[in-house]
Formats: sequence, structure tokens, C-alpha cells
Amino acid sequence: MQAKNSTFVYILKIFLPLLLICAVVAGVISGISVLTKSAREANDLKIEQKKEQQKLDAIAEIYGADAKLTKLREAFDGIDEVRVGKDKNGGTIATVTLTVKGYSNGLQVFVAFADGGEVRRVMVLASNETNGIGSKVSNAEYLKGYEGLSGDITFGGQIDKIAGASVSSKALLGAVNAASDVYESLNRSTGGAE
Amino acid sequence: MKKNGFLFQMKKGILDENPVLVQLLGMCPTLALTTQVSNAIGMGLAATVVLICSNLLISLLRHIIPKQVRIAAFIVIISGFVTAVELLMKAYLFELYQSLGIFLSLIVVNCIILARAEAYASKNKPLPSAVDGLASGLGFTFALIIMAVVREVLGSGTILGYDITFGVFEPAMMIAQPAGAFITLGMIIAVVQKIKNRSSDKERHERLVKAEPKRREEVK
Repeated sequence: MQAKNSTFVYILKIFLPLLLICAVVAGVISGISVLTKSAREANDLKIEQKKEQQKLDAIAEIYGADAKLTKLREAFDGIDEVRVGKDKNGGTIATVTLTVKGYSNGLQVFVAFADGGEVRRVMVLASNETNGIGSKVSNAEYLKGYEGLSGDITFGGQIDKIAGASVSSKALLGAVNAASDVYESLNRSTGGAE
Repeated sequence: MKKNGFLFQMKKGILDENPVLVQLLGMCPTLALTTQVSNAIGMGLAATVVLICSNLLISLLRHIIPKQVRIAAFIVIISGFVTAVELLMKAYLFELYQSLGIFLSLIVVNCIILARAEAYASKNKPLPSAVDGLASGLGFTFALIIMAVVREVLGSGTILGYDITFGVFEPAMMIAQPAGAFITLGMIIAVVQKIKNRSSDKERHERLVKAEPKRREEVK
């Protein structure tokens, strides 16, 4: 009985300080999390506002300052946002924002289409791709290669993969083609507008 | 140079016992993050700050933590510290967080921090432990920068994002890939070992030369 008690005391002496450290660390992290919650949410909001401004600036630049595109309430699978409108000639213009998985999760792509489905602009709004390798898909020079293309885009003749970043390149291509499919379905029907 | 003095510890951490090039610790970030010099500097500095602070805290708690559960306690302290720093940076130093964010999370798995906590901070006083953290962190940063300079120049033809090929040479993409990382690291370690062995060979030769007249006297 005495041996059992001493074993129990021995185990307690070892694990109690560890439990105490875990409790203190957990408490400190919780406290910091609560204290910084509003500041962190404000910063997350700033990021979303910055992305929204980037989209609005791109829309104004591509379609003109008086272009009116409205967000669709109709949901598309795997699509973050669709905005649709009419150009001066009554043709359908649209922007599609979607998030795809590249080498890492969270490659958010914005694609703007002219009437007929021609790509006018591709922008990467957010990316977790490997710095210096997959992150090259965000380069403005590379993204310009998509401008003027339409339909089902493939590697080879129309656009090149980035050497050493084939996964990220394929993900971006997949995103642009998926956006193109959304545009085609919009062209065939009209969606609900806000 | 006084043994265990500030300069001695700094030289030990940066050169003699460099965590990457001599002790072969922290291989994952060394191989994965040295495609660009900017990544290397970011990771190195972030790791240095965490090293100094975790060494200090662990040294302060060294008489409280039981020997049997010390590794678990160190890991809890290090990961808790990194999480707290990440939360605070995301809230109040947002631009710096955006540059360093991914590196902060990766620091938790950096074995250099656990190695220095176990080998030094848990057995020494707080101030020397903090100096040891600084020295190891700077040694880590130094090794990362050397790797990154080689890989970025030869593998991408840029330095800090600026093109330096001037049309004179084509970068070898392989150097920027994982295989190239291993090859570059192996070559840098070989050069470092050669320099270290040459200086220890030189010291040994000088000792032998000094001892030679004495030996001749004894033989006579």
C-alpha cells in the first residue's frame, strides 16, 4: 500500500509541474487571443476590403468607370463570387472569383471576361504557393499571357507552364477554365441579380 | 578570448558550432526556404527572436521543470511562445506578419530551438542562455543566407528579386529544386569542413614545430 502511495506521489511530482506549465501556457494564449481578437478581425477585414478594391479597380479599368456589374445571388459550385453586366453594345460581361487548390490551399483567382468569353484580365488575389516557385503564377507578366484567350485553354500553344511549378500552373489554368465555364453558362441564361 | 564570454559564445554559435553547417540541425527550413534570400532573412530573424526568448524562459524555469518530462515541457513552452508571438504580430504588426507569417508557424518544428533548450538553456543561467540563443540564431541566419544566395543566383538568376543575369547566363532551375538544395548544402558543408580542418591542421603543425627542439634536447 505504501509502495503504491509513493508511486502515485512520484508520478504526481513529475506531471504536476508539466500540467501547471500547460495550464499557464494555455491560459496565456487564450488571454492573448481574446485581447487581440478585435485587432485581428480588423486586419482580416482590411485584407477583404483590399481585395474588393482590387476587383473594383480592375472592373473600372477594363470596362470603363461607368460599367455596372451586379453580384449574382445564384450559387455556382466552387465559385466565390460572380458579377455580371452588359457592355455598351449589350453584350454580356462578367467577372468570376474562385478559390482553387494549387500546391497549397487557397489560390484565389479573379477572371474578367469580355462579351464572347474572351479573357480580359486574370489576377491572383490570394496565394499560399511556395515562395519563389509556385508564387510565380502571381506574376503580372505571366498572367498577361491569359489575356485575349477564350474557350478551353491548354498548355503548349496558348500558355506555358512555369518550369518547376507545374502544380501551381495547372491550378491556375484550371481556375481560368472553370471561370470560363461559368461565363458560358451565364451567357446561355440570366441569373438573379441583387 | 575569455571562455564562456560573450565573444566566445558568439563565435561558437556562428562559426565553430554553427547549427546548420556543423551540427546539421534545422535541415527542413534550410532546404525548403532558401530559394530566395528574402525568405532566408525572414526565417532566420524570426527564429533568432524565438531562440532568445525561449532560451531565456526555459532557463528561468529550469529548476521547476522535472528532468523526466523536460522535453514535453520545452515543446509546450516553445510552441506556446510562437503562437503568442504570431497572435500579437497579426494584431499589431500586421505588415511584418504578412511578410513573416508562414515562417512563424514553421519555427515550432525547427529542431535547433529544442536542441539549444535541452543542451544549454536547461543547464545554464538566463543571461548566458539568451546569448546562446542569439549566437545560434545568428549562426542559423548566416547559414540560410549563404544557401539562399547560391540558390537564388544560380537557380533563378536574381538576388532579392532583382534580375542579375544581364543576359550573360541562364539560371539552372535544378538548383532551385529540392535536389539542388541537397547538392548546394552538401557542397557548402564540405567547404566549411575543409576550412575548419585546415585551421586545426595548422594549429597542430605549429604545436609540433614548437615541441621539436624540446624533443631533440631530450634525445641528446
